[in-house]
Amino acid sequence: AAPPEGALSNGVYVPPSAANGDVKPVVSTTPLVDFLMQLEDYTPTIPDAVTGYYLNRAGFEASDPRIIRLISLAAQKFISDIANDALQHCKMKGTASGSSRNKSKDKKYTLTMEDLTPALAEYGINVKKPHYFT
Amino acid sequence: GNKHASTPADNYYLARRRTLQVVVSSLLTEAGFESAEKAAVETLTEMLQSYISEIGRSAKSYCEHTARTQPTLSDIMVTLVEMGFNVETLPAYAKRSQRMVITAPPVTNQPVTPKALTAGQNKPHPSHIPGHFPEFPDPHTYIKTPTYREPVSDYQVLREKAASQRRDVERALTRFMAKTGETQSLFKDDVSTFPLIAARPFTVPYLTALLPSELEMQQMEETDSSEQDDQTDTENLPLHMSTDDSGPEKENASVLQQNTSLSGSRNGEENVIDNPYLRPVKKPKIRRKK
Repeated sequence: AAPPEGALSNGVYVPPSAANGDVKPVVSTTPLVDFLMQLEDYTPTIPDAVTGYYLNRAGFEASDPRIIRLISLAAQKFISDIANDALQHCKMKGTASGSSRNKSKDKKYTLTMEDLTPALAEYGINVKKPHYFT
Repeated sequence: GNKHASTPADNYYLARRRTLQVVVSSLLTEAGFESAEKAAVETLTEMLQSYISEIGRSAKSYCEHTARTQPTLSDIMVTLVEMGFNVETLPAYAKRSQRMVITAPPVTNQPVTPKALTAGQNKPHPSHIPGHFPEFPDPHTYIKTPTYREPVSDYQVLREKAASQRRDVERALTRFMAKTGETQSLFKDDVSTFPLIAARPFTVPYLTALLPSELEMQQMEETDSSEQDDQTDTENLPLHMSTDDSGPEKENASVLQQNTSLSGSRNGEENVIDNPYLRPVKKPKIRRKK
């Protein structure tokens, strides 16, 4: 059942216009507060020192090490989402022409700029690398 | 990558950058790629670094927007939402990638070594500034040393200067008076070498000794009647004081006053300080006409 309109139950505020399901409820911090507790013993791929270094360069002084892990997780997810999209592009290009049925497309996927560029374009990031003549 | 030799400062930055590259490579491996183009890895590394920096900057801005200094979870939440990041999927992602490789080791501490151009000791950070902020600049950038010399305050030198200045002033003034007024000359033929100011004979020669000088008149006037509305000229006062004299004597008195007023500063100075630069300030006379 959808949460009642305008109510503040379980930390999710539903605007009155969301009853028809067009607008998703506004995100609240409750799910992440629990998640933050789970981050106590979780080590993301990016070391805390590196993330902390770049955050310090931006002026962000982290009081809680779990905040740093949260940010590094978010950045990781960002990159891996793009990587997955690029993989989809790579797979689509490979099997589009309907090549060999016996074995599936070779497992060796190489990330190239031709796959990365359309994946990034969906995120609004336009890269134009020049062709080097060497 | 360039094979040029890098300074220790560059190595400090490069070490972390290389860690990010390793992280990106591990993420790509986890996604299913076997290999990748160098340009693609560089692109993703740059994006990762800039993403982290942007989160930090934006979270700090949101935090300061609400008059706080310590960013909290809410600030980061709002930052991620603003950057188009779907926050709800984050726990799911964390759980999914439990099996991922945690290869990147922490970077060893390589502080930025000082360059050879440092001059002087930098001021250390006050306690309220965190350690990761850059250092204060070299002291020569903000220390101001005056370039003028201290004025000479030696008594002897000052007295000499005052005396020579006074003598110059007197000489210039007398020569000016000689040029513009009547002159008498000592020598029969040569008139211009040593001009003397022509002495005007007084009808009453002892009058100058009896009457006070202009400076004294001013001081008397200021101390006696400081609240009078109309301040008459001091030249008029001797006239009033000598009203019992005869008429031509009045004229002489006025002439005398004018004569002594020009050199009266010298006579009256015996009462006050010799040095014209150390004299007290004379306020200008305010004439209010009724």
